[in-house]
Amino acid sequence: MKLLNSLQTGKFVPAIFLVLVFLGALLWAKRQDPFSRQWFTLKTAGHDSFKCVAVLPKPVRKCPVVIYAHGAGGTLMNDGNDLRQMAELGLAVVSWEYNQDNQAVFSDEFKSLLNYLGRQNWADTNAVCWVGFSLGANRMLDFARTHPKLLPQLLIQLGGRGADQSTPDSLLLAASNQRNVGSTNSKCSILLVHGEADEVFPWTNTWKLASILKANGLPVKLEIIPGLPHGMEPERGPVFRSFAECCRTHLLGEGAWRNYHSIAQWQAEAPPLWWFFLPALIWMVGGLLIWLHHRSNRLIKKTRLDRGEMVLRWLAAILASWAIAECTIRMMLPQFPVSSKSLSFANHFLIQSKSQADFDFLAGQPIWHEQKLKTLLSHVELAGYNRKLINWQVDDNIYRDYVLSPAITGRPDEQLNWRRSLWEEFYPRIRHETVLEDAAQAVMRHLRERVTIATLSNPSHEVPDIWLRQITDEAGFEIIYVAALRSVGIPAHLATNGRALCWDGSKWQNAPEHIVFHW
Amino acid sequence: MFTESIWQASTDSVLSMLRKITAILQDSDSQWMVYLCLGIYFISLLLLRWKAGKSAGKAHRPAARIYWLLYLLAVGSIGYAIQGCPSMPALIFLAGVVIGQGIVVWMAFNVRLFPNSAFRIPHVLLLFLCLASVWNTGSHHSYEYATQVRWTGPWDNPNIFGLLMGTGIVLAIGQIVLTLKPKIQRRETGPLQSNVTGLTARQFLTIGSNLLAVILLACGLFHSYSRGAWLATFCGLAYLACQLSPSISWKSGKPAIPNSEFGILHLVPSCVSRVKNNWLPIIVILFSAGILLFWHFRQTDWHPARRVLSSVNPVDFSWRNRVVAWEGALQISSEHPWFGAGWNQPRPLYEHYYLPPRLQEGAAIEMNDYLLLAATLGIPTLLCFVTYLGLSLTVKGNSGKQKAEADEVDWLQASFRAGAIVLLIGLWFDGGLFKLSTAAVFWVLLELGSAMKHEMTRTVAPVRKTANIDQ
Repeated sequence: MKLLNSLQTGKFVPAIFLVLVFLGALLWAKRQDPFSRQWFTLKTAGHDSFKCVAVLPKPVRKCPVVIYAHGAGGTLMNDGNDLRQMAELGLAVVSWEYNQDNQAVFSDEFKSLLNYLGRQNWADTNAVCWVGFSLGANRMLDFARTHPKLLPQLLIQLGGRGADQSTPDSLLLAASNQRNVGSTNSKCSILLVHGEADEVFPWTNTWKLASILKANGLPVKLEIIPGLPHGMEPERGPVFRSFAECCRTHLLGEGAWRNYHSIAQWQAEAPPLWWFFLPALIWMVGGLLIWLHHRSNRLIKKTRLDRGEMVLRWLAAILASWAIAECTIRMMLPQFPVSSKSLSFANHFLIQSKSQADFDFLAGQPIWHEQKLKTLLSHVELAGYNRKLINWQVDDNIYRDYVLSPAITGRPDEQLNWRRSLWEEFYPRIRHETVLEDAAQAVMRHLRERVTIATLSNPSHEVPDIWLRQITDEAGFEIIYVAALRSVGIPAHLATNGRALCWDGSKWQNAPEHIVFHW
Repeated sequence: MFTESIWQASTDSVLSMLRKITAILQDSDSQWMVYLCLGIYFISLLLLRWKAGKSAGKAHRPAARIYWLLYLLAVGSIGYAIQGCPSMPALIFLAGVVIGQGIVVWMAFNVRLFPNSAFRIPHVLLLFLCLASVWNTGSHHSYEYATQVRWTGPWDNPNIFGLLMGTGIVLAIGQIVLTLKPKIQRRETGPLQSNVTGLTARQFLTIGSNLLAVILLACGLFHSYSRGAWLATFCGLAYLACQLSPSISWKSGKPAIPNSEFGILHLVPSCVSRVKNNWLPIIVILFSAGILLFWHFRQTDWHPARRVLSSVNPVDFSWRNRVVAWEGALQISSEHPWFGAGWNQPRPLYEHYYLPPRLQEGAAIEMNDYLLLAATLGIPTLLCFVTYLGLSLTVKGNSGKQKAEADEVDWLQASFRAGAIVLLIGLWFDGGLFKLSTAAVFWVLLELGSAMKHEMTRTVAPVRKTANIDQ
């Protein structure tokens, strides 16, 4: 009865509204999340338990599996970024808290994990890759040596021990085992990745290992990355992206990238937030209507408004009209296409005096055919705002031609609406940089972490498309590279050979090179 | 020279002691014992409150809302025990609750000896906060907004500093209003008599000192450049203003109590009355003015205005990172809905498994304590916490409707609740539930604001029928 009474008086309306808002936000956040993380505990044959995690790309479906073993001192918690980097490419990635002291226990755990994966409907057991980093690489190689029947389609060793003087016999044995397996079963390919400046395991050992394996007829590829230390920093992200690309290409074969769906696309396709707030809004409007009805019944007599109250109401009406007019002009005008009329209105209402010269410069460019005014305005505002924030100076002419200008390829139908998304992504990476070259390096590194370079048939070379799909070919990568550099205030343009050039403060030079492994 | 060396030696010894205490609290071998002790304290304090309430009569039994708190702490403690590793947030959370309960029990048991102890608590708190507001304001340069140094006081975070300053402002204004309210003669002397004809020297002193406190605290709040604290203070003051409304006859729009008895105080309810009668046009004016100010001053170079408007600036990373962190916390909650990810887990989980690639730091997840609580202990626990807060803040006046407007205790409790509201809003934007300085103040204010009548004053049930002031 008490509950009914409180419902009648509307006491519960705000509480239920808040619950609905929370649930709506929860569902929205879940829908936005491009991954599903499954935490589970397994037991070995000796009943020792160990924790595992699987990071699966959404929608969860059968996909190639990558089993990742971290390096010494690594933990399941710290693996997250590496796992997500690989899972982004449509791979189900699994890691586990393995015993770092004992190879036998590691082997037991690994066997349990393989058994478990064999039972999962999301795991394509015909497309499996093992990735080991440092100690994990050594453990996996030892396991491969002793369990040739369990070998995957692809084995990747990152910064592993390689072949030191104590292990040539066992390696030869491993190689021959693999050759045997290769002749009867699917062949295990091996990718060895090593930093040239590795301070723990010299790269020459990995080179030796590659030579031994090659000599025994196994498909081996060796990638020595110049200047990288054992931990692969600061190129860890691009390295993981690169070998994950290799994984996908190798495991899915021809047409590996045909159905690739990026996480940016996943998030762009998710319904907007307000959809999830609809139940709460409906509830609130209903509650409000009931309350107004209840209130109107209770009001006895409407009292006459005094002078002050009349003034207050007039003031409210005037201010509300003014605010609505301002909002209409400032929010609707940018939606119009660029024309002499819309430019004149924008010049009058939207452009501040300090941005006037940049606006005039951009408006005078013959690139705005069928483009919206808001694209032009966002370039003027963001480029100007970014110019105030960065720690280097650029000459006005170079700034306007190679930073402010959104035209990169010069094609008449070029899509120009890229600055905001790229600036939001890249500015946090360069905010503390003081030297143009270092900033360019940071941009290249992050761009390579986000965008795959692959051989595609007829890919789009529009910057917004590339950014959304997170995949392009070499030429497209150079285009988005120039856009990313410009978005953070580094003057850049495409050379005649299609390579990105950037300004180092005194001259044009090739922009820093990116990492890519070709399988 | 001698005094300097003594000062230095005493500071060193205090710091060394604090370091030792911190080491004990963070040590995995000893922390569980501290946690257990706090748990025992909490149960004992609850039993004491229960017993005191029972002896005071049926009407004074502890409210059912305590069960929500019990569930919350039970889930937290089970999580702590299962996890088996030290967790400062778990310890601070429990410590805050125990301090809050402890203050109420201490007052309830001392109320006969020191009947006005409840009225002293804001003074003590304000004294500390005023000292904090002038604490080495220029020495911490680690936080800056544009070129302006953000004050942090004795804390390491300007948001915490701002929130506590805001709480102090609300309490100090509550004290000023309390002093200006018609004084009710000592309860022992019999029926109420209105004796307000002017302000005594003592009242002047109280008002003056509180005004000084407001100025100092407002200065600290302003220089903290904490948007969350500014908003929270505004909400706390709005709540306080709304609490003045019972003394108004709404139909006529005029104070029900003759103006002559209130001196200048009658102006406040009169304003509140006008605001309440014209809430819609006022909201429209404020909203429209806000929109116009945003469009015309969003590029202003005046730092405070820019700071306020940055909350709706689409290129401001500060609030956007927080929103992204809220999303991350919700994603963690949706993957661990029932019992959460566990103590100490949300931040590393967020940083490694949920943080969008464009961001590098995950500290923002610790800024929203509600979502952090859901990610740590699960959604039902958050529901319990929010229900407990709701029940604590909407607790009905203990003294009955007839003399609500005259009851100093009700007003004192309202000002405590207003202080708690400042921190409650701060918990959403800046956090504080897992930091001892804010958690202790928050729980103390919340418990005092919702304490039973017999725990605050000597008056015990049944409530004495008092003369209607209208008569």
